[in-house]
Amino acid sequence: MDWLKKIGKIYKKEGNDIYIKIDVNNLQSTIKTIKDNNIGHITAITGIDTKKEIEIIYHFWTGKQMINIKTAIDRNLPKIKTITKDFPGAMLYEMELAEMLGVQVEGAIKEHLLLAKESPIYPLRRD
Amino acid sequence: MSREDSYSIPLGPQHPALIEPEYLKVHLDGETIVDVDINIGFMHRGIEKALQQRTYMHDRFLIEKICGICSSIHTLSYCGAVEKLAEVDIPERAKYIRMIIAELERLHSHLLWVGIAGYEIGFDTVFQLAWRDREIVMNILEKISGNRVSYSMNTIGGVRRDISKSKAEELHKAIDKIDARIYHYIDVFTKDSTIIKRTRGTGILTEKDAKKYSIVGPTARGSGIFCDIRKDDTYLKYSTIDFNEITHKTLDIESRAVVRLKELLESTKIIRQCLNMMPKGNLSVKVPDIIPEGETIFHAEAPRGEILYYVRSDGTDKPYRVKIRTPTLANILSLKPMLKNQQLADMPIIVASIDPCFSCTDRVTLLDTKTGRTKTVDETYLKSLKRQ
Repeated sequence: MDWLKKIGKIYKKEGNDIYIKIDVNNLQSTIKTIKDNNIGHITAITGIDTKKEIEIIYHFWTGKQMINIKTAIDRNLPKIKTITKDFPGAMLYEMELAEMLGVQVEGAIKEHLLLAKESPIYPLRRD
Repeated sequence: MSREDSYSIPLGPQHPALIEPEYLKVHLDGETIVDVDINIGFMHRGIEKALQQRTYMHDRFLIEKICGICSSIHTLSYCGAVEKLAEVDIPERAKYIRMIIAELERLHSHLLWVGIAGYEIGFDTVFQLAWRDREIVMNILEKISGNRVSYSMNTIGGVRRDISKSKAEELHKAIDKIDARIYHYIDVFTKDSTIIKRTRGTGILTEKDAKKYSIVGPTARGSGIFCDIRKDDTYLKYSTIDFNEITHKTLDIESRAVVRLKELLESTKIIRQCLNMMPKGNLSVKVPDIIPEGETIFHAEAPRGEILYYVRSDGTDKPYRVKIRTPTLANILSLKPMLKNQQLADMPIIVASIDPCFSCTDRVTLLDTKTGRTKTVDETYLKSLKRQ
């Protein structure tokens, strides 16, 4: 798994879990690298409002290890590209991310997933 | 059918599932399904937001209420994540008790599914018998924990109740009874011509599609994929237990049924070993209210597949973020390939075959692709189709 070191900074290792921080500009190439290494299972996408920025963690399960790819985006202009081209299973997770934190996921379906139309906007924002 | 004539199911806040029911828009060519649009979120209760506003211990009780069927695996995962953050190792006895409860939960969850599967294909005898046998598990769970559902056994640092010697003996007898019944159900689901006609070759999910949509649990294992977290990323004491990961490769509803039924036998095997291996000792250790700063994940094998908890602490007594990914959210996407080119009458059993927390055929909009007309039908209409 040497290729993991090349995609970003490994900032934590815990049992079978590896946490890697990457720059948002490298997201697409990182996703492609993961796909090219025969990892096809995305477990979840976690979005966190840290009050300074919005952190997004992609959790990929290899069958033996959980690779957690963390990136951060501007809180005032939260934009990110979809990864559903490589991981179609991420569709609902991206919709949830957009709905809960107001992240604009370019290329993703722009519909309500979990919230009703009259629900509070971006409830997981820490405003 | 007008709205006034429709049968509606009250879906109040007391409903035990997290994100069910879903709303399915089915595109039809005659009676054949062309495509399906999936809509969920009718039961969204803002749990993740609520978890940020309560203390770690208070959250444990809220998490117990996320799902009525698999409450134990939720608290097991949450407590496991918090214990990882606090760097606490729970007593050995507590680990075995957690496993016993998790496997009992799998037993009653799968038996519940067997009943629902029978009901959805119009074989109500199976439904009645499976739910009768499920009572054996529910009764033993009540004897151990005091509750039929929401057992409240897991706590941060261990478990809250012990399994005494006399209860262990009762548990042994109960799972012996269940074992005999499971063999009977395996026979029924693989040999009974009425069931085979509805389940064999129906609701195909290829290995390629299952991998494409990141499907988990018995749904994926019914497509021949090895994905049991108890084996792959072993937690508690599963590494010391002898059990098999069940897969089946016929890809249809029968395949998923066989996986679940054979998994039941593995669960009883695990419970027996746990009861024999369980050492004496404390049930829990004290965990400080303030959890050190950090982030961690914990994933486990719930009855429906992989469940993931991500917990981040900012060094206070309340979590900064708790993310929950339940298996049904992952598995819902598998309905798209499963339903394509199938008969509308098979829809209820195909939807039920992924074992959503609730059989969700409460309201469906049909769109005839030839005429462009739409009509909203209800559960009664679908059931009338399946009984024809």
